[in-house]
Amino acid sequence: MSDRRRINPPPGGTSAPVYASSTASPLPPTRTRRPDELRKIFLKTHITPSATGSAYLELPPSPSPTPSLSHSQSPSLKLTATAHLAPLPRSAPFTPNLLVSVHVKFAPFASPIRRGYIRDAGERELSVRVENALRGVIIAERWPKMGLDLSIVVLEGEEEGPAAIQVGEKDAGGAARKTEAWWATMTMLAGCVNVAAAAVVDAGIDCVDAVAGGVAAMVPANTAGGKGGVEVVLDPVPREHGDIIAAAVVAYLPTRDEITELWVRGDPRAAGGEKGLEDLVDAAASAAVGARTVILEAAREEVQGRVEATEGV
Amino acid sequence: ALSLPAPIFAALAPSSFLLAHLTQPQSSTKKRKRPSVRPNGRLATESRVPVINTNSLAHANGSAVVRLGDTAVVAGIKGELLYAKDIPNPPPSSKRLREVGGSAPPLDEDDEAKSLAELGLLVPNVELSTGSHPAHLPGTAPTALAQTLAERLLETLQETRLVSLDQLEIWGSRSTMARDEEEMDVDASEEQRDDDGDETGKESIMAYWAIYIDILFISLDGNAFDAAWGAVMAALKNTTLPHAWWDEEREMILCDADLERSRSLTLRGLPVSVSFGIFDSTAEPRMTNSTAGADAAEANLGSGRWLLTDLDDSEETACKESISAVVDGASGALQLRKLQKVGGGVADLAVMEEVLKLAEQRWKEWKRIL
Repeated sequence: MSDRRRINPPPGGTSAPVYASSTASPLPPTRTRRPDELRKIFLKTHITPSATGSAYLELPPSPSPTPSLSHSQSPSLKLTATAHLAPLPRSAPFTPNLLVSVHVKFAPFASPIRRGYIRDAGERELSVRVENALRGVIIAERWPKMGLDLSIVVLEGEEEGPAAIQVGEKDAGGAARKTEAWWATMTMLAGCVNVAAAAVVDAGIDCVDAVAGGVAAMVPANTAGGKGGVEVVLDPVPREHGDIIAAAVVAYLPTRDEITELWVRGDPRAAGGEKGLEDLVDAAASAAVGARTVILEAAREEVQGRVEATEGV
Repeated sequence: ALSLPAPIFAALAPSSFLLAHLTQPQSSTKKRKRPSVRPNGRLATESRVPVINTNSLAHANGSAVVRLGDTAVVAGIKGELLYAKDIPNPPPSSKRLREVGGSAPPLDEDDEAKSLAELGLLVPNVELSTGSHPAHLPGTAPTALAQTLAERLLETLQETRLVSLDQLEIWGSRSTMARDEEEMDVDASEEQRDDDGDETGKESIMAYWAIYIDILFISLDGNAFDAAWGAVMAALKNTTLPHAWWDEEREMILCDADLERSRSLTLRGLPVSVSFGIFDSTAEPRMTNSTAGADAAEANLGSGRWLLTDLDDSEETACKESISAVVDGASGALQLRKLQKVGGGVADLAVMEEVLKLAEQRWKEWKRIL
């Protein structure tokens, strides 16, 4: 528990504040985008000059219902990524390929309840998935005896602040929050893939194609009649859909039509029929295509800016 | 002759590179001495302009992003509750009593600082291994620099007495029933029972707010401490803690999510950290030949020695001597709160006076934006 290399919390241990339900719980936001419409992505590359490549990605928050202290503003996904390309130390065994290692780290203030600095299972899982998504894309043979350290920092996650507690209702709220966090991880993975891809592009590392991540979810159809049908929405915000049946994340290479990472949660076939899974994955891939245009545009802007700067001199 | 591109020269021999820039020969037409210009285009005592953005993180009680040129820092503050019953060796100040709704007996400032340090309510931590710099790669334990920074932040927080203890206290009175039960459980001594008798109708401290200050470097290009301290100040100034009270029924602290009832943290003064480096070209034997040109430009400490402010990364490797001052001018005259000088032997009293003069200017600069 205690870590001699850091400043430790008080020895008695602290607990996260619990909010009483003083006000009526605000209505959850509803989706105002079309099912096939993505949120706007803010992406900026080259934010860390001392790194080989770096990028910052932000998704806009959904409009907040009522501002209160537990969530004074709606959280939005904020990620940074840096790529450091460096020769491996002499003591390392020879490798003909580029060694890629990915570290995803949540900032302690990234979630409603403070996280510690010790790496947890969630971070490790995301790291492995991002590594999988990138491994097939980078042309590793061109960089023998080199290492690529990719580090992604989650400055802010999308989960909503701690819901108000009420006696008796405590557990239900906790369970709902848990599933929301569950789906939010999928959006986060897509964001991590996108920001990592942008950092790799910024670092100028040879790739077979620019990889991009996309998410799609299967939700109960929001029709006027309210009859039981399902629809597939791109880039879902878990809060906007009370109920998510299934969701898929892909890391997708559009020019090769290849998927390097696929993660499906829930059972799309139960609600969407035989073709349920295929529809869901196709939708996620088309979300990835949308994200890819942003990555390429950000890279182009950066290069253009540099060219203009040198021409100006 | 062998010639290298500037970036490679800078990486191979940072000291010679810095000296070559500082002593660039002046044009012969002008008689006046030209001031030295550093490789980054700044004058010797010119600092980077800090840029601050506050409260852009939704999950934190207070947050700030501070940019100092290519050094970028994010600070996030989260408040958590430390229950009085969980404190192993409570300091005397935590046993104070007050009338219900009344004001607490005031604390001596020394006692307060001591209690605050003993309770450990301020927890600053620094994370450099975010890929912010090639020397601090992710996946490793905090480096020596990260540990030093965190310790220095904690020290500065405690020594400047920035946060007063009374705004971190949460008062409440335990009902007589709860107390009776406790007495039955614990075989309380006669003396304690007497104390409890006095407690009726009085409130005691039920919990404290522990303030976690987490600082992440997005990008590191020198002068880490000034940037980190600036971020701590900006974030603390914008921190709001929810209204919290002791709930007797549930025997826990509850907080009010209402923004109107929350209160912001008030800070004592406005301490600002200003760091300097002294570049001594005469100390490096291999460079004595090139110091011949040193008279060409003005060395602000004379004979090949320069006082530089707000060092960047390559300058930090070239400067052996560094001075760091924490100053506060909020109460009118400039107060020196902390002064640290490490390495070298160039700085004398006159230099220190110059340092304080520059620190005052810098404090005004920070004050405008904080």
